[in-house]
Amino acid sequence: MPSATLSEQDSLFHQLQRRMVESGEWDRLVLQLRYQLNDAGWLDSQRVQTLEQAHTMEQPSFRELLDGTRTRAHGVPEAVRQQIMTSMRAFIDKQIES
Amino acid sequence: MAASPNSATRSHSSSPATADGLFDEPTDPNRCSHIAAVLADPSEGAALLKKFRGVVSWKAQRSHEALHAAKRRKIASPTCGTCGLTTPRPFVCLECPYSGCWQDEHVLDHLRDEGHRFCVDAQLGIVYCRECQDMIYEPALESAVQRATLAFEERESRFRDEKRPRESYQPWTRTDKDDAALANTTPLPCHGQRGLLNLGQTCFLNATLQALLANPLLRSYFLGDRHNPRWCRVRAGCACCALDHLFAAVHAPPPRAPFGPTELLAAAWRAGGGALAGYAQQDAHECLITLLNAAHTSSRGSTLLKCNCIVHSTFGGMLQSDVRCPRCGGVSETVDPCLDVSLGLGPGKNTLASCLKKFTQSEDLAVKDWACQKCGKVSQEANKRLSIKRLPPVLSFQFKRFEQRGTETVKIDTPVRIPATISMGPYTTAALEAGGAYPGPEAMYAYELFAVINHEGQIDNGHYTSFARYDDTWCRFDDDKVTPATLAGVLGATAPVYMAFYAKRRLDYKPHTTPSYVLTRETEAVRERERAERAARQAQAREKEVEDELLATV
Repeated sequence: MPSATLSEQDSLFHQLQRRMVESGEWDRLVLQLRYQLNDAGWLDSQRVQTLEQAHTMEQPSFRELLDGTRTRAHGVPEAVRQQIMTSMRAFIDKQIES
Repeated sequence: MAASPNSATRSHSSSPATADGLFDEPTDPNRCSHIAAVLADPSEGAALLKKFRGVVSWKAQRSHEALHAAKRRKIASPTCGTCGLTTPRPFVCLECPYSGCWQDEHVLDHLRDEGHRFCVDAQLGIVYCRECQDMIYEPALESAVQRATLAFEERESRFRDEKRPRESYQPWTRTDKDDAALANTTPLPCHGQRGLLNLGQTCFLNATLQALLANPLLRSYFLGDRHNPRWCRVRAGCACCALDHLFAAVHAPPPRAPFGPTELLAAAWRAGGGALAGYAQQDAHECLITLLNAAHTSSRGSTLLKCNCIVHSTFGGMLQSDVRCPRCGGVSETVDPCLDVSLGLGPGKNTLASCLKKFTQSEDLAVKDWACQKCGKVSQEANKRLSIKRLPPVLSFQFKRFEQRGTETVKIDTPVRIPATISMGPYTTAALEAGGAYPGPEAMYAYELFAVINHEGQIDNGHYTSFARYDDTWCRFDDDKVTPATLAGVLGATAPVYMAFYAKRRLDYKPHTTPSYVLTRETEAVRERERAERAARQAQAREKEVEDELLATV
């Protein structure tokens, strides 16, 4: 049944996510992601575009800026995506084994 | 002197919430009135602040643990009060123990359902107000975040060479004496931009000076009157006095016509030993180092070792060079002081991080027949690795663009992408020795770009320009022409970056030690006293002898 499979997947996802957070792997990955996105110029590009959007707003609102960022923040550099996915896969593989 | 336009409306708020916000406007339209009302109430305000500080401290602790915890020890994984799932980024209600996710608006539902008004993003310490329906700005909370995070970092960081912990940050609290001193003064803005006249191919000097003017530590030092030319003991030609005059000129009340930095040009010529003299184009990097050394020499109390003059306090770092012997595996460490870091450019895409990675990579020692000190054997394949042993408050990077090829010097125009912020952790000696993990909180390694020097053209007919910022406002400086700029313009400038200046996001103070010149002064004073006492005793003894002789003859 589709709904049961979905909730199985969901529950597995949530379990893995919890383990990732508890082991500190989540924080390490976020840091690694931050370094790489910074080095790729992606962080600065987002910063600059969001600043531009804020300057056009009479009264800057967080929700609008967040929506703007969400729309723009695709196109994470492929190399960065691959590296992070590899790290995540390695973690998940280790979790499944144990 | 003209008063600043806002001085008439400034009133001194004495409420505890804004105790260290001397120039806060109580009627700032950008402030959230809802939270201001809560903070104004003594018991409600205190409770809110307490909860807020608790969240910030919790987050600081947790972030630190996540990166430094012992293996197999679980880190707290907060869960959402509504959906029960792990939220790596919890938003915490400031009026009850609830915390939840932002994405699915669970925390917002909670605020609405319970009639609570505020929640805080644990990660950044930013507060959301339900009535404003927006993230809010509140000075008291801003300073609470800084203070709580800083307090945690101070506890967690230990300096390597001193056993004592960091000096704790003490905020300035106004006393009646301060009030009296400030009573008849007019506040002036401590930021200013002024063009610099080109005195004959001196754009190299002008670009360097704009980078020094934008340096927050130098600005505080000179605007804070720490080197007053009237009391300076060095006679004519003091580079610090010249810098003081420059800072005063740039912050003088408008109109500010372009300023001619003749004193500093003369100081650079003198101190450069003739190398920077003449009216030909010179190297901005050489000019910077020359001026810094001149300022160091003319600083009161500067010493050759462990100097704490303004130049060394600001720019002084230490580089460690580890040479590894391939025979015995022994490593010989050499530590050298430095005022800046010179990075070579490589093929392909150059970014600051890639240049730093190259800089700290292990490479073969250029010297052949290197003799190891530990095993005494000579080898050809020793390898050397550089790392940064001590990070200065201001990091200056120079990209080696001028290369000697045979008899001529060529310019390398390879573009380099520099970031607005960088974390220097991975390039420190501590990190490289520990294989990546570095001690101390992450924030201690964060640096922010504040000035850039660009060079376009060739060696002999090139031109230096610079970018510098005050707070978030960037300007472009082209000798006497000052134009507004944006971060986008700085990072995307076509003229190649020659030098980049970064300031540490958080300053850390090492434990207080008496400066060496004060110690020598005191020991001298003690010795003087002892000498005087001895002389007095001897004089007394002689008198007694004479008396005895006289009595004997009687």
